[in-house]
Amino acid sequence: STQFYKWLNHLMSLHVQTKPSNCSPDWETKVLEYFKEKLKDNEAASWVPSLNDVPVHYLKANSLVKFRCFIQDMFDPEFYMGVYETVDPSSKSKVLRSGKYKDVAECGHQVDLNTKNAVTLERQTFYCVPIPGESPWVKEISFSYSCSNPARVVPSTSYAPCRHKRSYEEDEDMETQPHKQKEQLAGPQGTTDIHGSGDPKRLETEAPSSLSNAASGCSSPLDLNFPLPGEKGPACLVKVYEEWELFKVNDILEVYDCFSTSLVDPMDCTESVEEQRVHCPPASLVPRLHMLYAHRLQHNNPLLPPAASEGQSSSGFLNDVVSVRGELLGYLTHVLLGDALAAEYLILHLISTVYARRDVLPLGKFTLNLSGCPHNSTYTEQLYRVIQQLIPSSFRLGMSLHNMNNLRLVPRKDYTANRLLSGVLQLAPNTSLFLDETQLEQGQLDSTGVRNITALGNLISWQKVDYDFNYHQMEFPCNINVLIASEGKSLLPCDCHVRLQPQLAPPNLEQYISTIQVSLSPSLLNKFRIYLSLLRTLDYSISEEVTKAVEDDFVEMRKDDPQSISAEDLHRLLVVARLLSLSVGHTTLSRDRWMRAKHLETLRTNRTEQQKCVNGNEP
Amino acid sequence: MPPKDYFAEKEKCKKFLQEFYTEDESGKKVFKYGAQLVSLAHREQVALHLDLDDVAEEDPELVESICENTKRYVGLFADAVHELLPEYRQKEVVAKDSLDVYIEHRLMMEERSRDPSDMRDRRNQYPAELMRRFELYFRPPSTAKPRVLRDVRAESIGQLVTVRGIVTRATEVKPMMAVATYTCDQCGAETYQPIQSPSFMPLIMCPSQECVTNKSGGRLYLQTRGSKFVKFQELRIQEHSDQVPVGHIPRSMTIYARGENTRVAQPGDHVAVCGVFLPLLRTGFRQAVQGLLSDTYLEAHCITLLNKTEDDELGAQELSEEELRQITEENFYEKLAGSIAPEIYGHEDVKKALLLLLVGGVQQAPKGMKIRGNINICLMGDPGVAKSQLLCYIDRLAPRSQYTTGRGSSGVGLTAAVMRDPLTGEMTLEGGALVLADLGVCCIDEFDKMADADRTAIHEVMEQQTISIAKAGIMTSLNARCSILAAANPAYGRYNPRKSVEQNIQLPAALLSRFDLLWLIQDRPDPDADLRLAQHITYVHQHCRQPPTHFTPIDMKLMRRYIALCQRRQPVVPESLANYITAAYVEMRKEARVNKDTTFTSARTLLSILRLSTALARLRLVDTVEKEDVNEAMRLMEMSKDSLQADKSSSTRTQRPADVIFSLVRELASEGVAGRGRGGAGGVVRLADAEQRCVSRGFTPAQFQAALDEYEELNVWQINQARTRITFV
Repeated sequence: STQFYKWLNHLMSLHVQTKPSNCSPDWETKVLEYFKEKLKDNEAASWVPSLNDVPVHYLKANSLVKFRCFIQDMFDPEFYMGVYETVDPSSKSKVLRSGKYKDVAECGHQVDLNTKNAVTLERQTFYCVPIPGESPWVKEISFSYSCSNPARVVPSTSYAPCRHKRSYEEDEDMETQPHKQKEQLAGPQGTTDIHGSGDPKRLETEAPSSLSNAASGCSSPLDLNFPLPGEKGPACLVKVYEEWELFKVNDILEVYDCFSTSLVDPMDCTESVEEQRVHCPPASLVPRLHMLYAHRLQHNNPLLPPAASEGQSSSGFLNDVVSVRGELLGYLTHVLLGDALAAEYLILHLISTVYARRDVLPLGKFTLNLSGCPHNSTYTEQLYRVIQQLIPSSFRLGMSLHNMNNLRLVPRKDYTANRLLSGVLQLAPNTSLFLDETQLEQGQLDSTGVRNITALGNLISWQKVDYDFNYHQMEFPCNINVLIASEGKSLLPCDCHVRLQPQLAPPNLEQYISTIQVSLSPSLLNKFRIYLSLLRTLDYSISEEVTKAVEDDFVEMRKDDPQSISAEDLHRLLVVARLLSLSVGHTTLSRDRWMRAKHLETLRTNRTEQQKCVNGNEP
Repeated sequence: MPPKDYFAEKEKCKKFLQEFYTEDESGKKVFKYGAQLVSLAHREQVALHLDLDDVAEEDPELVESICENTKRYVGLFADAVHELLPEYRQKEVVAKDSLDVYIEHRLMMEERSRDPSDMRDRRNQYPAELMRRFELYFRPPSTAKPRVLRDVRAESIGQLVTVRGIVTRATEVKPMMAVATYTCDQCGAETYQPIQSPSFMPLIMCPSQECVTNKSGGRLYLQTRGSKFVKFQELRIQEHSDQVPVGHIPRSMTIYARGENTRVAQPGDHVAVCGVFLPLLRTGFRQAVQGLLSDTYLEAHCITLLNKTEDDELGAQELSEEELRQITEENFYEKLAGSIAPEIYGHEDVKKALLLLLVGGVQQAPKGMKIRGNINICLMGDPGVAKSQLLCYIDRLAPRSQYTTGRGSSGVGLTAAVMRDPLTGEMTLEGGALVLADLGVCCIDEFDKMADADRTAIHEVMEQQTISIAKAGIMTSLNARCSILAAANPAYGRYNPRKSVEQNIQLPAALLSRFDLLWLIQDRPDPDADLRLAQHITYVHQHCRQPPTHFTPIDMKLMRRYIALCQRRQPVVPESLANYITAAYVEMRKEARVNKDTTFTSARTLLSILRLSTALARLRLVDTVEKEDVNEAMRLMEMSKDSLQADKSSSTRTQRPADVIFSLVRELASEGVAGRGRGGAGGVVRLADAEQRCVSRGFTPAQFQAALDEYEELNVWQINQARTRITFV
């Protein structure tokens, strides 16, 4: 297999350097086809080193790499010489060369710019970053697969990426070293560590909670523009040669690229200094990738096949869906301090996704507000840890006044540097956003704060984020699962409000949760992960018959007590019924499920009613 | 393809410039370009704009070649003009600046050293750019459609393209060297270097005959006064938001503006730019290093400012017959109203009102007094009745609109703020949502949550349609001619019909009376409606789209264009209707007194009726208001009031419409007795009067007819043969 990779690389370099004149015109497409065919094979794909895993400087130039990434920004198209002619200074012989998949012309030849044979072509540059909020377990699993075979060493270096064998300490050393090198390398140019604030280990462990680091991260000379504060990983400029219209901002992709670090001197005259810094950052920091082939990922769960729709494996899994659901319910019930109803709703929330949009109305979103979380305790943090363990990508946003007033939630176009400054709400589809409202204290929201709260409200109600383009706003639809943990009812709108009713009060919350987590077997945990990701992708329908029953039911309920159910309630009830059916692997709604959904809703509303009686003033 | 004979092409250009003419009304030939050449020759004009439409009249092929290979043809035309200019000079021109003097001197120098045997014009020795004081630009043919920025691709390089966008950056205007002039320190000869790229490599060694033969090694020195500079400005434009596919980032493009095209646009302007799409040339070392990439820019030929609304109209041509027919067919009013937010079920009357809000009434300005034409609507309702969705939809439908929430915006955010510019320290005025929505719709959600102080800012806007500022030494009044669409929740969570409107939404009467229509959206149980609602919602969840209705909703774009068409009409209320309206108003006032109404009826109500009826007339694309319009306006008023008096109407629901109509007619009859006038003596009522009365109360003519028949059968009243009179038995 090492041979296979070597051979691929060889082919690559051939492909990159060959002259298009002496072969058939469809040669290029044929080669690409061949690559795609080869890479379909999972085995083969796993031999290709991944930029998510291997540090940039261990990779050979012009070799094949893959990168699992998130499109953060799209730059203006680039015009390049698709075909150019070189003149050998000694023999004066002219040779046609292809300019695809490379940044600079080959050395040792003089480029003849005035020849008629030159063809100007266009390519698109995407600014890609690793998937924001990717949970640590996703990285662990996806690279332990590829690392299991130590033969995968890139031949030209001594680097042996056997991550799973290394202890944490070593890992840290390996991590910091490259940065130091990079610092030295980049030092004279005034750029420092990409990760902004120092020690990567600290970031790795604290990243989600340390929002205060964001400020220091942004002030670093070269802001790599990650959507979430405290993120790390390589950012890449991916050059796309065909069908770039198919990709959208915020898509997650797996790209197979030709890796290139060749330095192009940034001296574009049409660009200002700021622009140059952003568009042509040093290649050692932001490598250039030339896309050969990419596919859009529906999810980034390494335990599932990339295209989950072709579900041979999934059909097998569906058989024991019910038992897994039972286990998960039990687990979450423990985590939620014995509240089974809240656990039920949490499952529904975790498998919800926006499956369609009707004009402005997103269908299928299910924002959950979990109120009654103990204030001033680490419970919400613990809860987030548990969810992070289950979900491939997530982010916890502590809604403290400081964060609300200072964070940039909505991406903004920076015209001086001509790029999209990322914000926390620029997230990949199906990312879980955990809003921690228990951190909110009394005080003054300034205008940024008000705008941020409005943006969160819009996100929840319409599943869209209005990116700020200074002269106008642009609406970007999104698909983010929002979970709000609060003390009382949240100030943000939500689809569903569940009051947490703890059945037990363990003296040491932290210890309690960690015991639960430890007692969970890894295989079961993986089953949970598959369960949650897989169910999202299932199709669902309602039969005519059940539809009729639902309609009659609604009319009947309205007749008894018009206040009890409104159009909005019906919407929610249908969503709950849908999620409930899906959660047991049913793809159609049955009458029983409908009744069960109604029952759940009644239980839930009764609980809020009760709370109202207790509290009096809570709306 | 044989190479083009550019000499012949130049002759074509010359011929065109000399011979093109248009005929004015009296049939006289007007030499459009001839005249301009004269003023160019006299240095009265700098830029010569060649309209490619004119060229197309003479030689369509030439236009094609121009568009394909623009840069070359600019040169050809410039040469042609240059050669023609001396012929067009009618008087001696006084030198205007140093460059003129230089040109003159250079010509004289050439004259003196001219070889008598050589009859060639010696001006050829100088670079053409140096001797020319005119600029030549093409104006795109009207057939060429402006392109979307992302459609300008590699194959457009070298071509004349027209793009539209918003200016995001504009540099200062700077002089840019077009021809560098050097003098030699040994022989004194002048050397010229035309410059095409943003940077150049200065010449060092003197190339003159004398220095080369003597090998004297003369050094060249750059001469600023002798060089030619042009004004230069770099712009950056970005795609309009509506041209960007969903989920993509808007593209941008660099534009080089020279000479007369500078200082045309500022950041934030919407522009259409026609120009040549070119790769950026680099020279020397950079060319070698730049590798395989090339930057591109658009060399501007013609920059036109568009304002946003005009720009929208540009995209929307006149409605075709076909489309007009599609809209104005049977019951188009219902159809248009139904097309507003089709995914929200029901609320026909609210949608009708919103449609009228979009169309707007006619603004009257008799003798300096201004009576607004914009219609303000306030939607109230229990939580969860899709108010916000309606607002959202209107925000998207209206060509110009602002959406804010009451909770999120302060008075300053709504009206205007005085800001200090961080760079220059100047005070600047920044418009708030209401100012930005000028001539549009301002949607304010959660109107009730707004702080009182902020709400007062809206008072002025809602009636006077201006915003007065007296802050930080700036005293001014800004236009805010916008319609306000507000949504509010009732104060106690749900609407309490036993309390008055002010108590229910806790808004002051002064503000409430400024809304033309107040609408309470309540959800009341009603099995039929509920079933339809349920069907609607389940259908949406089942099929991800709204159920098929008896009509297909009109496309948003078409709707926008139709509304724009409507807004051009200025219907008037004819004299004959005045009496009718006054009578109706008096009637409403009286009723308000009797019923101890929870709402108001004031002079503003009358104005509202007028506004609504003119809006209805506009919607029908006519120039006079008709009685039906007034009736419909009054019906809407009545319905909106009805919705507020939820309690009463739900109790009268048990009363059949026929009964209500009967009591109305009887009332009319007794009035007739009391007033001894209008309706007729005794128990006789004119049928037309009765019908009007009923229709203005929100009954349909069909209901009225049914009631007539029913009570006639009961022998309560009799109707004469001609069906003009009702006589009580």
